[in-house]
Amino acid sequence: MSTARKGADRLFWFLALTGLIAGLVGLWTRLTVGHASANYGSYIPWGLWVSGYIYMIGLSAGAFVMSALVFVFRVKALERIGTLALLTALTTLIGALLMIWMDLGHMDRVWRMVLRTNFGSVMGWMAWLYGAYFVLLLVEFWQAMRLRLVLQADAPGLAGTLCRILTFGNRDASAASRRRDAARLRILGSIGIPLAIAFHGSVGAIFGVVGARPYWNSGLTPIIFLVGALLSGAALLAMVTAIWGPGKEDGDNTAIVVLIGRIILGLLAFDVILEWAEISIGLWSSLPAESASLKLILFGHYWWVYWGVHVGLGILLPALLLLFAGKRASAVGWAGGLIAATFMSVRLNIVIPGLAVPEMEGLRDAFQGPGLSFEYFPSSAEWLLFIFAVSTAALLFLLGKSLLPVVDHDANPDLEPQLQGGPGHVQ
Amino acid sequence: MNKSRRDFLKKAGMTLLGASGARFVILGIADAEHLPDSGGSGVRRRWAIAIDTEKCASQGDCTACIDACNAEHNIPRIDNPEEEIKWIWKERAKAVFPHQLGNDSPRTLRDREIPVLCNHCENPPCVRVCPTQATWKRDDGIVMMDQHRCIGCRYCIVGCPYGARSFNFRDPRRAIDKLRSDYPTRTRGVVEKCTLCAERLAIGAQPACVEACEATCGAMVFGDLANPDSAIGRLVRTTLTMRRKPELGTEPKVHYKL
Repeated sequence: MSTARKGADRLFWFLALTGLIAGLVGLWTRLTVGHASANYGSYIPWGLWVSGYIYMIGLSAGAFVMSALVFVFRVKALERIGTLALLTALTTLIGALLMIWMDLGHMDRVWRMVLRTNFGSVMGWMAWLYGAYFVLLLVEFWQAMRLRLVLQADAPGLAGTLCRILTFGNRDASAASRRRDAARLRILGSIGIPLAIAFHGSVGAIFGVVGARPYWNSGLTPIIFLVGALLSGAALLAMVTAIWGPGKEDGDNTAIVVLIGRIILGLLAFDVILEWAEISIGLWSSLPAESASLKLILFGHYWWVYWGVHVGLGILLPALLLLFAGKRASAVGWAGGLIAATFMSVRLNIVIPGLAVPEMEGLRDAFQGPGLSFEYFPSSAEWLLFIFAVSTAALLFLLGKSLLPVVDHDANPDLEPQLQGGPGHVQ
Repeated sequence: MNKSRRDFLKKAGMTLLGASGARFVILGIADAEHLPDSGGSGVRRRWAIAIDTEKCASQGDCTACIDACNAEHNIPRIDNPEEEIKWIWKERAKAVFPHQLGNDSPRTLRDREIPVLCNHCENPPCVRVCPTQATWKRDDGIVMMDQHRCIGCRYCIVGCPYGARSFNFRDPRRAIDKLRSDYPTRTRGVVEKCTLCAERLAIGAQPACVEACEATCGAMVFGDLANPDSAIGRLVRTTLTMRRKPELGTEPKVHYKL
């Protein structure tokens, strides 16, 4: 690993561990005083935790679809990061589920989502879709690693032991087994794509179907969620690949990172078009119910979240990096990191402004004084719990990439046939 | 063998028939005797409330309906308005009907404080969105809530266009003025709302708010909208009443006479 990549690796270990320790305070507060420590209330009933959940679930869906480019569509140029994409999808999914579980008023009753499902509710479907996606991800992740687990089962140390255990006694590394792996991966990935679209589209639909909230109540909402998920997930993968991707030196994985950079640029352009459509139509129609939320985003108290964090750091700067330095892995990694990190502002700007325009005009002066709109800023306990969930996901990722054969730095030719299960390679 | 089996089925059938018939009779008597405005026509009930806001406003700062509801349902007194538990409360008319009462409407009308509560919608969005069947619509139109099934996801609060649901951010039992042992309390982390006093209707009584209002100015009328001869049926058919956010198609069952 080069010095720069080693430095980034150490920085992320430090951030994840510090975040986890600090986040334990948030976890303790959540478990002891419940939602009383949160700054949201009956008028803005969802806050940072719901935003954090849709943020991480989007990262997961996006990273998963990137893995499908490898295992389903067999894009050869990306094949060495297929497993890395799956690990990214799996760990961000765990972070998302942890976040939304903590957001429930009664965490102990989460089983009701599965055993007493109201299938008329979009949210009712989520437990089933997540369950299926989680199992599929686990199986696919294992299947993608299987050959490497076998090849490294005799390696010394903890990693070797782990590989040995995870082979489950199957040490078959024959050409036939590799073809079988590739075929299974293709099937699993093919099931996963509609599943990822279904569950992330459904997350969008959770908001889109709420007639009481005009800002959300649009057929475009699930589509915007999906495109945002693809963009943020691919962007995260660009950063992950630039730091931990295949190759021991800087530049070894440039071709892969540059290709992801091009994908991100296309998705970014598409996302901006959708955003423009949403904002321009909403403002043009001048219907107060919808434009009020949009005005809150663009010109409200937290205007800087949209213009500074999202547009400045999440669109313009990454776009400049991708356009003018898109052939350098480090620049694409930075662009990906910026988009992925700042996408949280997009998720916050979906959840909060949609709720910040009250159902009753009079509610806003009921306790805040006339002329003020509903305002919400997360409490320190909310931030800490959010940091806990993100750090847990990050730490799981770091442990996974360190202990499991997720990345083949040496471009082991033995692994190549794993993906060559049949025709259909895309170069 | 065959005969005894046939006898058994016959007896079992007769017993079941008799039991269900008795149940019908019992319910029929109870309905006819106690429940207000029951028409006995066999048409499914549609419980509703009509509020004469002028009468209500004439009582000034009267909170009889709110106090009665709070006492009846062990509703905690929480000072922080963002965490307040509200089943019925008062709002200014212009906030309740923002599109109908513009700035050119009479000031006395706009500033009138009127009671608001769950509308027990014919098409309740809260029921649709609840992922765990913790809230549902009864045959008589009451939108019910079972706090034991509630996981506290708050989707129903988000889905309700009327802000009629409250979330228990804290343990509500510590903030109850006078605990009633015959009504359940709730726990931290669940949503609650008006149930139109389903437990009182079951014993033939009117909702607590309506009963308390009758004792003051009688601005609230409760009854079965499915019965055209009921007081509320006549009132709604002969007087111009308004409902909140009719454009959403939720068909609220709380009517306001402005």
